[in-house]
Amino acid sequence: MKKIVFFFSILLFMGTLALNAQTRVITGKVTSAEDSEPIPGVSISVLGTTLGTVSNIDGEFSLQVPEDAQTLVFSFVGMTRKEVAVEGRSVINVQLESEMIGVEEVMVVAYGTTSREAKTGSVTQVTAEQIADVPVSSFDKVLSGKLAGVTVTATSGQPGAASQIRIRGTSSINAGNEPLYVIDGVPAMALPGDSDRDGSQDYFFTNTMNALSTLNPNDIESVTVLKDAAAASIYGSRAANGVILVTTKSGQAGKTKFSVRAKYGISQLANDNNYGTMSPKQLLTYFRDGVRNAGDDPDNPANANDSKYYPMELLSRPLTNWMDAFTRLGQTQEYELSANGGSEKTKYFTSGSYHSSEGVFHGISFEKMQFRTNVDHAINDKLTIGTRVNAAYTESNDVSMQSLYFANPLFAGMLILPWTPLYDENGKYNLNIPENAYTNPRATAAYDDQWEKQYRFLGTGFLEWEPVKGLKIKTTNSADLTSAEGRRYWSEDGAYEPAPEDVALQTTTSLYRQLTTSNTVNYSNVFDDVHNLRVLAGQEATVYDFWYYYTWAPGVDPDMPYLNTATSDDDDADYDNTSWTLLSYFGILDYNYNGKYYLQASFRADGSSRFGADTKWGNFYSVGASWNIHEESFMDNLTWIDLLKLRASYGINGNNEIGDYDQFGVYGSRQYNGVSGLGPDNLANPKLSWELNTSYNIGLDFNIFRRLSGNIDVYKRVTSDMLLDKPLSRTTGFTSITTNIGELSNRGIELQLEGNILSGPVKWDLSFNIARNISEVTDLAGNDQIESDYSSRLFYVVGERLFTYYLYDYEGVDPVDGNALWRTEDGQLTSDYGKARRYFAGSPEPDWYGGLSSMVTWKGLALNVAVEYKIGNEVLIEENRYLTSDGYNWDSNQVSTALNYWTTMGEVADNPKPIFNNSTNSSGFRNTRWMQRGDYLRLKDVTLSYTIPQKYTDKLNLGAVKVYGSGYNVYTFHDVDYWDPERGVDGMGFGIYPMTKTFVFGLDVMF
Amino acid sequence: MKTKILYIAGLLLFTVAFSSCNKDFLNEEPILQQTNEFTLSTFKGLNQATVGAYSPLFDTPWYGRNFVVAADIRSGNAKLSPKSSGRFRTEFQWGYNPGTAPGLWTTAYDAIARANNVINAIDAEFSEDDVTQQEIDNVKAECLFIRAIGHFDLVRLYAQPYSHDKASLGVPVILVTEIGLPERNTVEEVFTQVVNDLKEAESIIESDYVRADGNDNKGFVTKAAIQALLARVYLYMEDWQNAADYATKLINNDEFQMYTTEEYTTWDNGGVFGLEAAKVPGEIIFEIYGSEGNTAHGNWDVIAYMLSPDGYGDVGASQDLLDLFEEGDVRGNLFRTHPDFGDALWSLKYPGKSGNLREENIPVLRLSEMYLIRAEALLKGAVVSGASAAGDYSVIRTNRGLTAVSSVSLQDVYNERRRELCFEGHQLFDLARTKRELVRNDYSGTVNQNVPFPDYKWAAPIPLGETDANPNMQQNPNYN
Repeated sequence: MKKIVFFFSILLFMGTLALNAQTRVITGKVTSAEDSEPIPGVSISVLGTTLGTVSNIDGEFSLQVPEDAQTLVFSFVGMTRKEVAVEGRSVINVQLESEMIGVEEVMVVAYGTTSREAKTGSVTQVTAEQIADVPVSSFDKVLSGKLAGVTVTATSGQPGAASQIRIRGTSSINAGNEPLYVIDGVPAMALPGDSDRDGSQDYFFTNTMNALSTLNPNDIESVTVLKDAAAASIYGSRAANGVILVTTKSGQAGKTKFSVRAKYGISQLANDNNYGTMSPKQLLTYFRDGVRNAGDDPDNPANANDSKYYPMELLSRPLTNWMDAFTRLGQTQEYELSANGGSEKTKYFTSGSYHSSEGVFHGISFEKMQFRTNVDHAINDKLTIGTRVNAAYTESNDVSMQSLYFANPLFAGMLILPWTPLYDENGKYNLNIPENAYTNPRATAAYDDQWEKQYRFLGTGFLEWEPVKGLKIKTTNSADLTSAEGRRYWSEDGAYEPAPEDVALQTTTSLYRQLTTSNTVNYSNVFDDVHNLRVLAGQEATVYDFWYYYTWAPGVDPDMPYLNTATSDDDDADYDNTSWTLLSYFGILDYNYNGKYYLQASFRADGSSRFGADTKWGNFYSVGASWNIHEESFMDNLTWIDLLKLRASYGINGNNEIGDYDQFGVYGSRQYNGVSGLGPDNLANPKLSWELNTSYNIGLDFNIFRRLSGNIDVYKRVTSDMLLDKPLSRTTGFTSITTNIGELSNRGIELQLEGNILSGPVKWDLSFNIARNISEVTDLAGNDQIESDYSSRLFYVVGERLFTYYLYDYEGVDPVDGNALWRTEDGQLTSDYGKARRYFAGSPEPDWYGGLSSMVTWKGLALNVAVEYKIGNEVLIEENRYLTSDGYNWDSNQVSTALNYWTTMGEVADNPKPIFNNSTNSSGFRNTRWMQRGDYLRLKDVTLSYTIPQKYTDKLNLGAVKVYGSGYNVYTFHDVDYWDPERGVDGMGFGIYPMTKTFVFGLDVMF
Repeated sequence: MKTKILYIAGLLLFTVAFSSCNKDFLNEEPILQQTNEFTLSTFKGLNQATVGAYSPLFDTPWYGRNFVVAADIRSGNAKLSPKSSGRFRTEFQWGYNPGTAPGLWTTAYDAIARANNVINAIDAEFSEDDVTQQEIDNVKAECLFIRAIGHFDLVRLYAQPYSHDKASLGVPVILVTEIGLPERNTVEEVFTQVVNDLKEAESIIESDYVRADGNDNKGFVTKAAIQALLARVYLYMEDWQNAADYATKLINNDEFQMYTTEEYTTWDNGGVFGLEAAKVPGEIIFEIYGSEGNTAHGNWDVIAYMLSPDGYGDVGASQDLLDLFEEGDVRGNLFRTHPDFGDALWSLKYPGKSGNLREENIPVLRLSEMYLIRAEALLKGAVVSGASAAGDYSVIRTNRGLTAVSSVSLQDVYNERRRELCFEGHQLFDLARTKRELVRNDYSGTVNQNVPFPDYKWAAPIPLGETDANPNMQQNPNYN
């Protein structure tokens, strides 16, 4: 034990300073007023000092206090805070009363904390206990369905993959849409790999570079989401998409407490609609029909060279289920040790964890090691310092899963023919697979490399000085560093008859660095007992740098596959470098009159290196007000109302995610014929600036009968000066120019309810949320519509929702001849794809979305269930163009939903008739045949836990022992002809790793 | 107490330090790019911008692959082979619509814009100490050539042939690159500009000028390249005398010599044409230098990958083409099979440099084409003393393992162009300019096996992106 303490004191980088005042000891016991049971974990402090301790498992405490200590403060989550005068006693026993739900709950907000009674903006919070047990590798997944108005969309089911988080809809077309993450008071760095624009990972070889995954979910104390301008706009030009504040756990004074956690889990592809390939027999029949439909004979061996020979004999060959060959049972394991404790002066929380996942597809894995140390130290009554340090190493192995590559096992698994053998005559993986471009993803997974290693460090140190009561001067400085190394290697064994240069290597090395200093002066005081005032002024500066080295070396020696063995003729090396800076001044004014009327105003001026020469500085502000109606005397009789609060806010935020150098008209390097030259990279754009986001919010918070609380918010957000890639005539040499010209709005309503349904031995809490967000494009710089620049399937159309599918109008199958039918511009039906009208067919944005969580406890048992749902959205599954291709994608396996195809005159069929090398475009791009209703109801997580009764654990000297089983993505109700309906914000996740179901068993021990 | 004061002093200093350097602090310029103004204000910059103007020529939509391959697979020289990655199906079946229109539009106007920037900067009285007018003129001539070949290839692809209807819709002639909404000029106006640019280039370029320090001198514009392109342009305009005269300039230029029968079996020298080839002088007058070191490199979407069964190999040789080769013609040997695909044949013209299918020089103008241009022009009435159509035709034959002939017909020349220039992107435009219909016997598609002339399909549709962005841009008839 001593050793461990010693170990931690080294970690803490500073020793304990001795107390030097005259002190004495107060002891006592804290119990519950309801049932007189002891309450462990109550924090006890001396009023007006930082001295404090925590009650032990029996509710007992012992606290060294100065001789002159007047008052002790007892506080505990869910209990009413109590101040007790010491009056010379040395034993103080206290009973705490249960708190009304939610009221006085402390929330972390921008540059401070607030209580639910005091907030004026729209803020919601998720706490540690809602995060801890869910089997996910990063906390963003846990937010899904928990918060009204917040959508968390997985871009992929791959372990470690990022989520797309949208708070109150999507506010921008071309600037970023991800919220700002503020970790322990410092805005975190967004890596290029986090780019949400198209999910592309420009600088990383793997799809698993979620920056949030380097935080351990168990280290998080709370996650606060700032939704409206009043809450968020103090973050100025970065606040337009909302702000997510992550606060990690602080230490608590007292005996060192340890937590040990272990989890093991398995996962498999989510496939609740039984999607998959045809049986070999069905496929052969399909091919034979396709050949006959082209007027040929599938039994004629002379047709072999033209891929028209499909004898029944194929079925007697050895058959392979390729999807089975590419998949496996995924596995997850996680181990963690954390410790928490300290003296009244020095408190610490420290943890270390190891996480490892093996993906459902061969070749995919994710591994993470992570350490955290949080220390707070009171130098004396007036000075406090502290650090928050997180260090993580992640290693991920990937295969090409982000698009329809032949090496994508998901896609190849559905395309390779069942009579193509998995192994060749030498027992190696067969690569002679013409239908999949001679690529076998199983061989790729086994022999080729595609990995990324990241080292991430986030360290923050703060110093706070309180020279006089109520005045706090604080400086917070942080370094956020990520270093990454990536490698892709195409081996000799992974390719079919490779030429020497096909044995090729790509490597990357990159470094991201963000340094931030944030300095604030905060003054708060109460005048005449009723005027509560808080004023904050601050300054912040951020420097971001990024550099990247890339090498490409074809023709490396397979026995020594590194750059050194490639000839210098073919090597290619490249370098990239970007930087940006941000300088800000800001202020907050909070005033309330007697806890009834609240007023909050904030202002921030941001200067950014990204903005054009003419527009360097932007000013952002908000005002918010709230009225605690329940505090009014006319409400005194309505005792069933515990809280009734009306809020309103207005504010202006910015979005500065506009590209680091988009303002400059520049030439960049071009090589031709061994000579280095220059070509135009960008058109000059000196007026380029942030997007403006004006936000209005009206909300009502309530708490009634001491068991039902909730809030309703109605909002509108208007994005103006929106950046658009205004299409240009190609005769300019460019296809578009980025311009601040567009406008779009999001308006919506959110309802969140939390209720206690049963209390007593069986306790049941239920929470529910639902939200509706309607986006509307209102101005596209005079254009009626513009094509999205990353997919020609999505158009932005004035008067329509932001994401609108613009598709050719497929009208089913002609019962007469089995051809696909299309609707023309003038409403006629035609079988000529070229004459099909193209129209705005649907949107991936849901009409309603939300979630439901339930928590039931009985003695040591707890059952948590979380459900999420989306209603009224469409998805576009263009993968099926190749998988139900009517013979277009000839000589490839097809999925079973392609089966109900037309065979006879007059038949009403789901699919057109298959034709050898079908060229009728019946499975053409961008048509409504691939669009389906994407509504779903997902049983997101179910956790059953059991805490072993204390009488047993006490004997073992253990604090608490919990065992649990948990399922994630347990079941999904949907109608989509695909593995899973969740396909990213745009509903088009082309070739992505589908969602997985995970089942985990875990053990938590505290001592 | 002392530490406290130190801390606070440090904190204040930090804040002040940040605040006092506001102006520089917010100034971050890209270090890997330089401004337009600076680039175009020095001779070094103009010179580098000219190299950059070559870059799009090797892009996939242009000589890097599509422009060349599509012209052969649409015209019956090539067909879809049994090996398939799904590429070039649309082209094979003439299935273009505005959404799938060829991408040359964007690529060629990009090159034209780059050339214009240099030409306009020079025309604005550019001068620099220690730089001669001739040095400036040479750079300008290169850009004029690039602008001309850009307009020429655009008008060949997106418009009806000059010989058919020169008053019909051509492409916009862009001489100053600026943000605007230009309309289409007539085919005749485009050709006039192409000729003007080439004539000016011819008149200002130093006769032995070639850009320094390249890997391959044939990959740059020279006086010969300008003249050879002029010969071809005049042929398209049916200006027979000028076509013959310009072809003669190249035929009489002893920098260029026909590959002999022996040389022709390995005529590309393992994918290396031009000055990189062992034989200098050779036939290559101008080619696009292909290398993975070029910025505009399509990775696997490059020509050799498409034409070789060791690559994607979708594009094979058609029986219609193979039937044209006589016994003894060495060009008939430039085809190969693949063990997995029986008798199917692929062209051997692009075997990849040293077998690397991602690298290939693309011949654009070569001497044998000049003989064929002159032979055709002479048959059409041009007169060049000492030259005859049969003589020019025989020069090709005798260097390909065949015997000389004493008379030749127009059809013979057309067939010879097919034999000689197949897989170099000619046949489609030859059919159009000579107003012949497309007849394909060896055809596995379902529609457009034969395409009559005239027909709207001989002009490709303007890409949708352009017509969406530019309301003045008129789409070709019959494409919706």
